Amino acid sequence: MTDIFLDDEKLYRAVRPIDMFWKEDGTLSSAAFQDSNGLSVDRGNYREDREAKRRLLMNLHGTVVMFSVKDCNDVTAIVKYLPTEDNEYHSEVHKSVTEKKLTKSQQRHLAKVAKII
Amino acid sequence: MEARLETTYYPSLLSSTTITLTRQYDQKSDWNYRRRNNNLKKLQEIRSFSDNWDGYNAKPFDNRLIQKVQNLIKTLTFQPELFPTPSGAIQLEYDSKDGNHLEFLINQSDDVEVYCEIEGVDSEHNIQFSELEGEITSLYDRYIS
Repeated sequence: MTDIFLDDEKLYRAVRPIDMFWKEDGTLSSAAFQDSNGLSVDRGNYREDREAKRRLLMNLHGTVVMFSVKDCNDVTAIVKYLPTEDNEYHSEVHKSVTEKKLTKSQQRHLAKVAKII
Repeated sequence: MEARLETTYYPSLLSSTTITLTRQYDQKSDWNYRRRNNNLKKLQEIRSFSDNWDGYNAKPFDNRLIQKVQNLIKTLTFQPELFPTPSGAIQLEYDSKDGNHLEFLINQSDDVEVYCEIEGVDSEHNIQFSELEGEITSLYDRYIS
């Protein structure tokens, strides 16, 4: 897999525990995307949503949400391809080239655009 | 406590209006009470989180942070929605019907991160934890209620 991300590539993340991050109006809290170590995601690499979800839930539980690389670019967040031994799709979304933790504004944007699959 | 409308000339209007306003106040009070209890239950659940609770290696929460937020929740007149964060903080949120949004990020330090989206414009600032209750009341009154 290349480490280049195009705008239309999808990114997937499991949100768990299931009942912790959903607001009373049914939307996702930005708290789900606040990780000091950068936001871990699985890149789609143009797989079907169903296949990406199946692969993600092999290692994790929870609700799977999806947003695109363009959604990250829209708030100048950086997507990095960082495969691990266990997961060839593992990637991270960072605040910038030098800082990992997303800003509040970036977290909030991604929470707004994320879709449950 | 009741919300009352005083009038001298329309006693029949007064009685019906008073009943309506009192019902509205009671509903809001009940809603706050229920949300307060939900928040306290949620904090107990967060307290029990073990290593890797989010599936992405998040650490368990510090008991002192849980206690600090629990004490705050017990004092707040207007209850927020409450969420854990994978970075080990607790986030309080308020949303208005017309789209205004407030977030307060509480961690183990004395600093609280405040994020506001007011009429589509976002801003951030930090305050001390000791200022938080006053800040919530002030921002809630201006932008949420």
